[in-house]
Parts: sequence; structure tokens; C-alpha cells
Amino acid sequence: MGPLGVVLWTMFGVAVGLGFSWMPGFHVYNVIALLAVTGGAITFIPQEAFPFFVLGALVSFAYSSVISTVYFSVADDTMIFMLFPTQRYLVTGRGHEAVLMTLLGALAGSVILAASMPVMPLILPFLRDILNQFITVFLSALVVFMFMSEWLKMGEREENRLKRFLKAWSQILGGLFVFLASGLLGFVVLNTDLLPTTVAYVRLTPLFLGFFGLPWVLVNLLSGLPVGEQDTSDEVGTDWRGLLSGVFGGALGGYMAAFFPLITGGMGALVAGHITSQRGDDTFMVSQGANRFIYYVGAFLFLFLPAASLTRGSAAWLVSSIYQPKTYQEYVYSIGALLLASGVSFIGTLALSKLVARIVGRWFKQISLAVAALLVAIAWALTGPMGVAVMLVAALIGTTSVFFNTRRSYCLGVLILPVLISMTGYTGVAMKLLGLGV
Amino acid sequence: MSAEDRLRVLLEDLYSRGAKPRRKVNLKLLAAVSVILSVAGLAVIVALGQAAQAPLVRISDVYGNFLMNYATVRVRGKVTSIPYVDNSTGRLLIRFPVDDGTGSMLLYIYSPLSAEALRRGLIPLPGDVVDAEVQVRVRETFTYGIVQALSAFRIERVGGEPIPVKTLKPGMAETLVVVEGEAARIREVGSGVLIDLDTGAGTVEVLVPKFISFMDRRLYGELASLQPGARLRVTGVVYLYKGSSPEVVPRRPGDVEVLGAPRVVEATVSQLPGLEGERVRLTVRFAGIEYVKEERGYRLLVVDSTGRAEARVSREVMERVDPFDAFSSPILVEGRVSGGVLVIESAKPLGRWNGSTVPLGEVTAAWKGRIVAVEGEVVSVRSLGSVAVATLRSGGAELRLFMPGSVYSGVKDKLVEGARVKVAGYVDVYKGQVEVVVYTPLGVRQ
Repeated sequence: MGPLGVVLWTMFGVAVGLGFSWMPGFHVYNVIALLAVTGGAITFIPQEAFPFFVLGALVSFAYSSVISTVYFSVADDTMIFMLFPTQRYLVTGRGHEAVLMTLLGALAGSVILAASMPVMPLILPFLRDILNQFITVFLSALVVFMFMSEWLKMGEREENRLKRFLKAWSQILGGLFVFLASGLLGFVVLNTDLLPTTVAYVRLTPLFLGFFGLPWVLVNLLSGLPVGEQDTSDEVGTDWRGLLSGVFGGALGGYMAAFFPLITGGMGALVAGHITSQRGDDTFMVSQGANRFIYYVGAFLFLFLPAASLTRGSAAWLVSSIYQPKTYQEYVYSIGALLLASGVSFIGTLALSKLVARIVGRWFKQISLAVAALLVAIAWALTGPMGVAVMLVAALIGTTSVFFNTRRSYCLGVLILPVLISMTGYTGVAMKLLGLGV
Repeated sequence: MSAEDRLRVLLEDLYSRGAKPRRKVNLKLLAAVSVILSVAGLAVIVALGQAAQAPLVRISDVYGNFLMNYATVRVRGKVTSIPYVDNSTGRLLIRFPVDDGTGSMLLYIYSPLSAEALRRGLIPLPGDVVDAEVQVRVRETFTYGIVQALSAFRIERVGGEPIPVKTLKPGMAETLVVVEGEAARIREVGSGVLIDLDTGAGTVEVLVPKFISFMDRRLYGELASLQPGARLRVTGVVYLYKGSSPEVVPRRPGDVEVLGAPRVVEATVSQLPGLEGERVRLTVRFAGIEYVKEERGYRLLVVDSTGRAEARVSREVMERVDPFDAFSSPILVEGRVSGGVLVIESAKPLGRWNGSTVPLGEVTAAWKGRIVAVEGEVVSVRSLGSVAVATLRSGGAELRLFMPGSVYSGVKDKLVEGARVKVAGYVDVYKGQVEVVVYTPLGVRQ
């Protein structure tokens, strides 16, 4: 495929990403999955163009999905830490500014990622060889760290000892419940035929929609968050120090998440945020932009590395099952495609943000209801009625995390727990305990 | 105004100025309800999951089907090759192909299940039927499955009483046999230790697979360094290597019994004619070395103070004989007398090289077939594909070196133009030109 083909298919991916990703609940993985399930990915897009199409879609998703997060409060697992700063900005009429700051982070992430790609073939195999055998240890440590970072708080104002004890422990116990419950749900779904194995690739979709999509729609409806008129001028209240600090922390977290399997952007951001001691909403939003971009796009770009490719993330797995990029030419093209898609996505998202800012205040409730219906429809279309049932249970667990004011990232137990069980060789024991037929 | 009231006013001023007053939500109640509903929902899901076990699928339905990436399914099929075990990445891995009649797929068992499978002897052999719950991975060019739990991994082994055999035929594939005989040739190959077992009625090839080394490292090491002539009894499944060459593959360490070391007669060259069929050990010097391509080995004359005799030696055994040591020391050889010829199965020079060399100008056709050590500067080196030639110069004389490609690839770092090297090998005459044949990488020193 020549450069013209690369540009065309990348731009097509960008168009698809920009067209869908700003809508609440439309994760780009779902769009790609829908394309795959309906057969479009194979019949319509040439195989060798598919990686570039997905790259374009992922880049534009990493940019434009910030719109749904800021204006509609719908989060995926990587955005959970953004909700409070962005909500603050939204209710004070500065939603567009929040979008712009996140985009600045994403733009910086694009440049950093493109600049780092030439050295990746040297670094990645080395890191992989060293760290591969310790993945279980890293994952376990990260889970422990997540709990430790929420350790016992808010108990000092209650009137008696018992109330103080319960208050202090409620958040962490709620988190533990959410982690174990989501892990149990994930284990059952991953190890049985509950959701059809014939569409196994998309069986995590209803789980993720349930954990991260529906609860926030529910909270929007319950809380009746007041959204006023929005200022759409292209100005941000930050400085170079805030920007650079955010970009550095975000990039660090993004690379961690992109490199390690199962560790998502949100978890990477948590660790990197602690490492770099970040403070301030502006720094935070910039860092999230960089973090998400490097997590989503970086993980996928590793697939293009000749002789050192890593398959990380759902999109990479799907693409590698259809066409695995093989040549240095494709590798160089991917860097160019990344920069092109980033530029177009930045401008496109900015324009979309101004458009959405004008309508969000008026139809907030209606849009939230439409999102809920859309999420149910996606789950049904991909996995049938059982998918919707699984999504609802996931939504209950996700909602529990909201009510316990604990991290939504504990819902990632849905993947982490089954994988830890598998990596330590206890899948058989767990299946027996649950009566799952082994 | 209390601190709490002040805080509420501040928050309302910050976030809700001008908005309509909102309903109060009882978070504690909502939290309790959400926990109860979550637990109830999970209970329903687990109950439904109990009735939705991983389905048995046809490999052809799974293979290349990217929508089934990560699907947990059951596959049932016949193992078609010897399991491969690898520990090079730090994660012990077992891999083997299964065929269910609709297609073939590789199954992987990763650590820690792999270590447990080896400990419990849960390693299938060709012909065994495997029923396994696996997670499917679909890549562009191949599809494979990862075994999820050993409790969901069942092997229906090739059964029955082992049939005693003295020879093997392709028709015996996937049957359990027992064979007893004398190890005639032992060598390590990629998939394990290959032993030619002389049963008296013929030769039976036995492959002790590499995974045995992870079950019993001591036994595997013992077999790898086994001396020809040792008696073995092996129980195993007949596997057709490359689809046509039958070999017996033991399943576990207990299937290989070393019955005893060989009886060896200490002899001299002149006694060899009277020791037909016997295993002998004697000290000789090599003379008249000549490579016979068709036999993939060497014909040689062995000499001692009592006489000379014809001998054969394989390329593998010869490659382990250091020509420098053999130039200055006699060689202890062990082998069997067969058809009046000594078939050498192991050879080891008795002493170390004393450092002496033959001047290049003195290496003439009179040395043909004998081992020499020489020293000089490399004038030229040319690789001609499967062989390589070089020229050595010293004191105005030049000598041609000849070596197989496999030897050259092992010495090319030392054998560079301008380098001063010591070379040892046997002398040959090719188209009238005297040359030293470097038959082993041990034959070049700096």
C-alpha cells in the first residue's frame, strides 16, 4: 500500500472516530467491534489498510472522547479520575476550557509518542525480556497500591468510635467489594458460554458499558447536575509549568499502561500521578490528555514495530488477527499517520466541543436518557439479551463504587482478578468452587 | 453558623449558584441497596454460568475466526506430535498440536500449570486423545489455544499392555510397545536424546523427549552421556518421525530402564579379528583418514605397536576428537568389531597437545591420511557455500586448508586474512594439491 492509501485509510478512521467518539457510550473499540461483527472490516477495508484505519480511529477517539467525558460525564476506565475536575469546570461554564486543556495534553502526547517510536525497537525487547516474568508481581503490587492509596480517611469527624471506624473503612471496604464482585463477574463471563463464544472478542463490551457507562448516566439523572451556559473562547487558565508537569506525568503513566498488559490508562495515571506529585486541576487535565493518548495509541502502535512488536490492547488483538504490520515501511508510515491524525483530530474536536457546548445545557437529561438507551442497544446488538443482563449487573457494581465514593477503577477487577487467578494457576480451583463444571 | 453549614453555603455558591434546589439523596441507603442488588445479580449470573459451560467446538470453526479471539472453549482431538518444552524466556511452556479431524491447532500450557503438568506426568504423546478447556488466540497467520486448568485437561492415553518388539514398522504408529537392546549410537537432537537400540534383530530408534529432562534431570543427563553398548529397556508409544520413520517415545522417566553398562574387552589392534561382535577398548593412532560422503563418516586405519586395522567412525564422533591433542597423543577408542571392521563409537586423545607443529613446507603427500598441526599466517579465505578454503603461509611455504561450511562457520572469527593461527586436521591430496582438512572447529586456534 502506498502513502496515498495510508493517508486515505487513516483519514477514514479519523472520520469514523470523530463521528462517533464524541457521543456518550461510543467507545472506539465498540465501533471497531461492530464493524468486525457485521463483516465490514473484512469485506470493505483492504486487510493491509485495516491497521491504519484503526490507528486513525484510535487517535481521533483519544481526542474527541473527551467531549463526552466533560459534557456528559460518561467515563471509560481511563477517565475516572477526570470526572471531578471536569465537572467543576462544566458547572462553572468552563467545559470547553477543560476540553482544550485535555487536548493540549493529547497533542503533547502525540508528539512525544511519535518522537519515541524510533527508539522503541531498541528499548521494548529489552524491557519485555526483563519484565515479562514479573507481570503477576506488578499486577498484584498495583492492586495493593490502589487500596493503600485510599487507606482509611474521613473518619475523624464522626461522633463515636464505631461511627468513626465505619466511616473510615467504608470507602476501602466498598472498593474491596467492587473489586471482588467485578472480578467474580469477569471470571464467570470469561470462563463460561454465558455470552456467546462465537463473538468472544466483544464479550467484554457489555461489562465495560455496565461498569463505566451506565452508572454515570444514572448519577447524572439522580443528581440533576446544573449545567449552565458555556464559554467557548479558546483560552486556558494554566501556565507552562502546569502544562509540562502534566505532560510529563501523563506520558509516564501512559507508557506504563501501554507497555504492561491489563494496566489501563487510569491505573497508569494513578501511579504516575503519585510518582510526580501532581497538583492542580489544569495539570491534572493536561496529564490525562497525554496519558490517554499514549495509552490508547501507544499500545496500538507497538504492533507496528518490526521484529519487536507487542500486542497490547483490544484493538491490537483484533488487528493482529486480521493483518499484522510487517515492514519497516509500514512502521514509518504509522508515525506519519499518527501525526496527521492527531492534527486533524485536534482541530475537529475543538470544533465539536464548541458545538456541543451550545446544546449541552438545554438537553442534559434527555441526552443522558438517550445514552442509557444507546448503551443497552449496543450491548444487545453485540451480545444479545444475556449481554444486557450482564451489563445490568456490571452497572449495579459500578453504581456501588459511586455510592461508596470509591475509585471506579476497582471495576477493573473484571480483568485483573481472572488474569491473576489464571497466572497463578488457580483457574481450576476457582471454577470448582463456583460450580462452573470443572 | 456551624462549620458544616458554612461549608454547605460555600459549596452551593461554588457549584449551584442560581440553580433550582435539588432533592436530598440518602447515600447510605443507596449504597446498601446497590450492594444487595449487586450480590443478587452476581448470584444469578453464577447460577446461569453453571449451566453454560465452555462448549466443545470444532477446530475448523475456531481457526482464523477473529471474532472468537479470547473465547473459552473445549477442544478434543488427537495429539499429532511430540510436545515441545521451552524454558528460555523464564516461563516454562509446553506446546503440542491436536487434530480433531476438522483441523489442527497448537495448544499451549504456560507456567505455573506447565510445571504442575510435568510434575503429574500430564504430558500427552502422539496418538493420545486430549480434551481440554482452552482460551483461543487468533492471529493473522495462526490460531492457538491456552490450556486454562489442569482439572479441565484430560488425556485418553494410548492404552493396553505394551507389545514387545524387536523392530519397528510404520504400521505400528500410535501403539504402546516395549523394546530392549543395546545402545549403539546416542546423540542429542533438538527434540531430545536419540538412541539407536540394537535389539539383535535390528535397530530400533528411541527418542527420549526433552520434556523428560524437566521430570528427571539426572536420568536425562545420564541418557545423553550414555556409553554405546549400555543395555536399555524402553516402554513407549511409536511415533512416525516426518510421517514415515518410526521411533519409540517414552512417556515418563520410569519408562526408560538402564539395565547395565556394556561389557568391554581391553584389546590391541592385532587381537581385533578374534573379537567379532565384541565391544572393545584400545589405544591407537589414526592413520589413513578418508571421508566417505555416502556413509556420512570416515574410514580410517588405526595403528598400534601390534599392527593396523580398518575402522569406521561417524562424523559426530570424529568432530569431538581434538586434532591438536590427537597429533601428539595416542587415542583411546571404544567400539564394536563388526564384519572385521572396528566401528568406533567414542574416541578421546589420552594427552594434551605438546605445542609442536610441522613446518608448512614439510607437509607433503607422504602425510596423506595422518593428522598434523601447522602454524602460519592466513593469506586468503574463501567461502564457497557448503565448503570453505583458505591458504596458510609460513617461512615462504604455503598450504591449502579445506573445511566444511559447518566447521568454517565455527571458526570464521579466528580465520581472517592476516591472522596468525594454528591449524590441525588430516592431510589429503585433492587434484594433486596437498591440503589439510579441518574436520572440526576444534582444529583452529589463535
